[in-house]
Amino acid sequence: MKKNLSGLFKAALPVMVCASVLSACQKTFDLQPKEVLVTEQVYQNIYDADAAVLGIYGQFMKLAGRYVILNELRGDLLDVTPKSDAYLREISLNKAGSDNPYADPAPFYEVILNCNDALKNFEIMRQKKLLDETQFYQRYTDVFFVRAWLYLQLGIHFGQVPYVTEDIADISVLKDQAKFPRLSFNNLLDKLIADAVSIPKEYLGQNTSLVSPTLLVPMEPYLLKDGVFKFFIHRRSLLGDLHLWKGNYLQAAKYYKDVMETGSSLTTTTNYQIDIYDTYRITNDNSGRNTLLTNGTVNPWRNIFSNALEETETNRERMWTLPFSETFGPVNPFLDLFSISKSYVLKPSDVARANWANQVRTDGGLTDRRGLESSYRLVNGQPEVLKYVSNYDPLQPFKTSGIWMLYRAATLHLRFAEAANREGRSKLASVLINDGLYTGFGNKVATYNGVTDSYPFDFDPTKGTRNGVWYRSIGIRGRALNQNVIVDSTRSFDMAVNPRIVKDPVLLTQDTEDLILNEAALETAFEGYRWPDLLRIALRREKDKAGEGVKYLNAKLAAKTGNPATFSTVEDFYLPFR
Amino acid sequence: MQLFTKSFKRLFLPALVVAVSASELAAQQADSIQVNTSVDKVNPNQLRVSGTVKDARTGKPIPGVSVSVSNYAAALSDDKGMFRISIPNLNALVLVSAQGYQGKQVSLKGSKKVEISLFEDSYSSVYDVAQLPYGDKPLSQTVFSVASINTEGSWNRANETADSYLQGNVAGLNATRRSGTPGIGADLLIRGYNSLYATAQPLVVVDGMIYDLNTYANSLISGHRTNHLANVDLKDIDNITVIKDGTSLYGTRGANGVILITTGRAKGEATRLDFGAYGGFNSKVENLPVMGADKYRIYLADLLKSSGSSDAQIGSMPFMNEGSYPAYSRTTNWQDEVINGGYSKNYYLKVSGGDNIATYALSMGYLDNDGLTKNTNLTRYQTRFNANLNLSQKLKATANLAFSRAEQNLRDQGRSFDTNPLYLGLIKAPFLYPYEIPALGKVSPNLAGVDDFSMSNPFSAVEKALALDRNYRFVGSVGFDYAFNKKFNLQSVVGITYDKIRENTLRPKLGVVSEVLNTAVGENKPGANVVRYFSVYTDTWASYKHSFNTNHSLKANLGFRFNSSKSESDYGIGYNTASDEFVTLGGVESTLRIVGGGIGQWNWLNTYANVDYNAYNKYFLSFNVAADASSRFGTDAGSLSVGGTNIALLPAIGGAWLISSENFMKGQKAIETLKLRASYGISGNEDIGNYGSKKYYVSQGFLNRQGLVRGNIGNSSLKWETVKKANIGLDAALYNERINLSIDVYNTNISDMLVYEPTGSLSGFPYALTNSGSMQNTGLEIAVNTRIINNEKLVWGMGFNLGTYKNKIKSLPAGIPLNSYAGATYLMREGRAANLFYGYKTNGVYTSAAEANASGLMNKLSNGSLVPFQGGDVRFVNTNGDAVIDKNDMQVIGNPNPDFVGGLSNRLAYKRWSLDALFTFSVGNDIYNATRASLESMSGYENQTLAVLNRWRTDGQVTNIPRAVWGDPAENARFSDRWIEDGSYFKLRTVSLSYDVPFKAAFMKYATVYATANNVFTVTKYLGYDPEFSSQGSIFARGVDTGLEPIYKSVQLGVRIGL
Repeated sequence: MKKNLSGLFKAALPVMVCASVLSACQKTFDLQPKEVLVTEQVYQNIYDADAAVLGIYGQFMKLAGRYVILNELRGDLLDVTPKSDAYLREISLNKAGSDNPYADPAPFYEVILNCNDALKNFEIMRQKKLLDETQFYQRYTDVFFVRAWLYLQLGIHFGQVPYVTEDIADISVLKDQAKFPRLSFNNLLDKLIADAVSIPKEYLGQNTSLVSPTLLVPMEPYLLKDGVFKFFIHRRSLLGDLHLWKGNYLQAAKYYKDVMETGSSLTTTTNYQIDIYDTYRITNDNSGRNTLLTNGTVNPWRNIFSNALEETETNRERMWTLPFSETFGPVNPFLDLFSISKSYVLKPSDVARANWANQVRTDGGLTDRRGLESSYRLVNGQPEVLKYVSNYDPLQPFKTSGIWMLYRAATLHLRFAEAANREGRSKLASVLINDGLYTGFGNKVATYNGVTDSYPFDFDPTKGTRNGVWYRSIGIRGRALNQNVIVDSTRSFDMAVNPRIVKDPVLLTQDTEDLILNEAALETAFEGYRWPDLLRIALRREKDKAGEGVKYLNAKLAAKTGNPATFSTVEDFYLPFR
Repeated sequence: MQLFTKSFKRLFLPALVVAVSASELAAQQADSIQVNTSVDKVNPNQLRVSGTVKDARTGKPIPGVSVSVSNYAAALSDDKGMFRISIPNLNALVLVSAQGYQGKQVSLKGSKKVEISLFEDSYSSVYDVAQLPYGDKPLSQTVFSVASINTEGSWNRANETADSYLQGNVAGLNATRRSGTPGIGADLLIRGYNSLYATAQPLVVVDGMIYDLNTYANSLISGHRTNHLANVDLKDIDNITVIKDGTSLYGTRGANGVILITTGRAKGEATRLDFGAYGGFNSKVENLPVMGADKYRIYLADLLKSSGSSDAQIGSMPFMNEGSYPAYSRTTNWQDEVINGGYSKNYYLKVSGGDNIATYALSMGYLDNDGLTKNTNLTRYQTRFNANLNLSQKLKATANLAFSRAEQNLRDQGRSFDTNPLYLGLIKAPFLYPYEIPALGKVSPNLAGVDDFSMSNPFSAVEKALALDRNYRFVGSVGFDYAFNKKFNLQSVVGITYDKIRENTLRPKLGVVSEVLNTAVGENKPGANVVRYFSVYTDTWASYKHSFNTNHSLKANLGFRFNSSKSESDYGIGYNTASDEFVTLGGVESTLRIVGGGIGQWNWLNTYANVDYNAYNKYFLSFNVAADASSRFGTDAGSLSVGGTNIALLPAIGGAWLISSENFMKGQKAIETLKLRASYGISGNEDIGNYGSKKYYVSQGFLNRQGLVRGNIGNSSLKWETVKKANIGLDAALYNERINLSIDVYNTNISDMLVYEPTGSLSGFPYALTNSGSMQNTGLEIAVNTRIINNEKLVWGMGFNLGTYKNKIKSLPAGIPLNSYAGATYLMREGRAANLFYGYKTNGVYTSAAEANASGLMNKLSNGSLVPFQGGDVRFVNTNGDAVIDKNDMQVIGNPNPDFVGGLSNRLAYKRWSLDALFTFSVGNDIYNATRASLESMSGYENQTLAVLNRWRTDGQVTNIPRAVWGDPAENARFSDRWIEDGSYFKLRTVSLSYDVPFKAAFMKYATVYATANNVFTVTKYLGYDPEFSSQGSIFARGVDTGLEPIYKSVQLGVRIGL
């Protein structure tokens, strides 16, 4: 017995020695985590690539509240309430200190980190043939433009920012901070535009389920209809914006125009349940049920911000929307910011309200129907932004679904008008913001200096046996049933001759630009465009004539804050980067 | 008797230095040694030494003492206590051992005649044997700082766990009991915090197996931690050895010191039976002084007025009209409604015995201990089986099996403001009542619901809530020892640990405030949690020993430890079951169900070698080295890489000089032993997270779909923390061991210390885990053991130990932010202690609006707004000279680390009586009293302490309590020195009286009766319940009183019977 056991032990000895050697091998100490995924476990197939895209959008949605606060509260249309904290007040006065939590670029870079990671790995997947060209570009382009959008935001708010495109996989990458120099806003725009050249033109259309069947599947509670593909960034309009910021007005106009004609260039598919003809055109389809004209007992225009995602008419307007669901995170941040029954830290400014009150309608009455009861309302005498809270009922506090509108047709038209105006098309620009091409050009193709205009300014609103694609155009003010606004002709026209001749084209452009900007305030207030619009104009005018831009912004903000000298130099336009 | 004697000789004589730690009294034991005068017969012509052995207490000679010289000669003392023994030379060490007495290694100091006096075996002295991982070693020969406690079961402290038992017993080991919850144990710190974010707890090894103390998931029960060490019954423990430095052998797990626990094995082949039974009473704690109904009403009126209510409105409120509204007219002492005294029961049975092939020890224990909070208690069953097998002449085997199961009824503690009964008992409006009182005034049997102030019913939180923790642990190991020859041995221990915690909780609807969730109101909330841990552990080593000649000997070990661990936790919580009686997760609203958990897996390999060299029994040298590999290290973690695996190479060297053995010490009669030690070693801490080194991805939802986003910035160079320890120590025994003394001075340098390094905005993550900090601990330890009175009838021994250290951050990356925990803010800055309380200093209260105005100071609130101070606001000290009180005015307002901690033990023995008293103390530590901060913030409906009666009310009033204002708009209750208190204390920790019942019965060997009282008194200035608590093991939670169950007084009566 004893001998046997010791024999057993002797036999076990080599086994144990082996085990010790084996246990030393590398595999034992290179364990794969089980509750997270490491690099080798991701980006293995198209579903992994889709997960990366979905993850980025999931994170992107967390920026919504910050986006609106920075882009609107810094401008003149949105104001603080007595319930706002000091940090919001700082933002409102454009005096953010270095400890201001809203003036923090880090949340943008958090998404950028994931974009860079995904872009790098998509390329690897393409090389490994895990993604074919179409699959690759649909995903790569989407993430690419999301990153560009984030950098545009960073540029707008922080001016000089580091342009990081490298994947920060390991802490060692950060050791060399020289790799991340800070670019001026202007250089950043150059970079963004230059980098975008690499994207083939055929991939500039917004993602649809036909090209990305794995990425776009029905999402509860959203059907696979228009709403779904509108989750994804609108690529061409962003390119237009980049060029508009840079001052490449013709190029910007081209991108915008292509989007404006989506309805006549896209082939009809089952994805387009809507009547695509009117898509992004600001039209009256004469069906008698156009829901967006501001008439009717309940103003239908406000449905742009409250209709269900798949609703047809509003989808002619909506271009890029991200939905907040009451069932899934993140929680809709807008209710808390805007609703009187919640925190109510943001409200319409007096400037914004007065602007609406001063508009003249086609019926001759005062006040714009896009203002009271549309863009905002009064609750017990206190103004509340309605665009974000119209579906919210304080008695049902958990019904928090809502949408984050990132781009819509009116924005597109206003931006096109801005670009066209800078290309000398003041008439076309004012027609678009007034009552539309059909009326504006009197049943003729758009003209410039008396001759038919060329791409991208060649709008055909003619009506006859064969209608031009723009014959239903009613313009932004036309849709609002407002009277047209016109520039003061005496300033820029030689009134002595007939037909009148432009005597000061610069003044005409500037006056028209002011009209466009004011129309933007009426149409798109609180949606997150105001500060960028003001900043863009200010930078442009500063470039035209030093000091003008600072003066312009100071005047705009003084109307809200009462402080006539918020900024003294262009550098003051930006928040401190930290 | 014959059998016993024979086995005694065979087992014990060759086992050279064995501390025989039987628990019987010396006098009884001495009889059982057969006395025979024995002279060594090996080398009659050799050098000889003669001497006498005496009982140190009675002065009487001790016959039958085994006297030996290692590998050379052996003898027994005669009935006059005399012996003669051959020695190779005068440097030889004479080893003395006798049952019931301490073992001793006597140095001849060049003399041929020695007088030896022996104390009883429980006497703690420099001759104690430390049970080190690769063999026992007398403390007189250790080169490292080691403390050894022969607990002998500590039968007089039945309800303690090993960690709380250590309190006050080892210099430099700071044991802080976590709370008063039964079995909750203590946080152990050996020589301070050696890490900020990795574990600071020492490594515990039980019977050669690493005993994992971590819990791999948070408890669902607020404020609760499972104490795994409670699974080892103190009565099963024979010896606890604490290694404070020189822990390099444990490589990257040795940085915080090592505690080796040895459980009891059979002492002989005779069958022995030990039985213990205890019963006790736990007392309540003294209530904190909160306001009664009348004072509370006045306070409420003040508060409501500050919120804009008019006098008429306030006057019309039902609770302001005592009498008219019976439901608001009670005077309830809510603290009495939620806490109670309780009882404890404890039974233990141990059987041991065997034959010459196998011996065994089997024990079983049962414990039932009521908690301070009503309806809480702990029940634990334990069993342990230890066996030793002599399989062949050369092969020996051991087996250790232990299983325990504990079931603990708890309630939420700490900062769960809606469910913690203890907290609710303090803040609940005193005019309300636990039961509903309808308009007519008769008390209904229904529990009252949430009150008008949105406060839970404390009584409901104890009666209706559920917080059940059940945990199980199985530890099993087998060991082999194969002796190839006299020089070579191969030993191995292989074992597994399986641990499981199951928790079930319910936050009831009735009487507890509902939770407002994103999508619904959560009315009740059942939860369940399972945490599993499984590990395989092996320690295999070859040992070699050799004596070159009589003066030089060498011992060497080479081995490896491999530990593969897995943990998994799964929890589910849900809301809104049909009723509070229906508490399964299946019954919750499906859209409100939250499930989660974690899985971890990690491997650790520690290859080690050690060489101990002994020259002339005076000079000792020890060299240790470990090479560690771990799955946690990054791929670029180190300079040393073997086969693609990064290795941590951690050496240590130590030397000792036994000065007293030198011939020149011959004349120094007073100095029996004097040893100087010095050591320097490097160890590590591998508790750096399972995969922090890897870049990984986590899930990110997008509507109902799941995407993936980055979870971190990887750090491929993430490595262990390096801990370099230098130690100089002196061990001495003076005046025939009447005074034993040990002094250590140490310096610990921690480099590669894990910190969350700020990475800047552009990185996408605010912080990354890097090894870029360094820290230093410098300290001093003194342990003294004296025998003040030492005579036949009366013995008085006193022990004293003290540890002090200074912690200093040496380097940190730039931009490290403040750390917060439970409202406290900690500062971490280079050149200072790592966890200083950092807040506002105050200087009383503005006596009037005019004075506040005159200060010219503005108050910057946490929302960034600037408001002027008003009369009755706290005068925060302006440090930077600007006109604003803001975060730039924060300064260090306290240090949670004690200046020194220690213990004072006394043992008084008279005839059959003995009295043990242990005092513990902690001096100079500051406490943030977070409970008092809520009880004196005067911002809401919460009842407050009587201190707020002094609140500022009128201009000109001089007081140090600010005004009562709804919501505290001036933030007078912010983290400031108002809430920092001196946490120093001196506590009569345990006093126990035992009496050995004289028995003549044949069947019964002995019987002892115990009476023990715990936490008898505490001398402290602290205003909370008790200054001793530890809500987290983290350095950044130290000294924050979050409101856990306080430590209470208890008494136990017990009896131990030996058969």
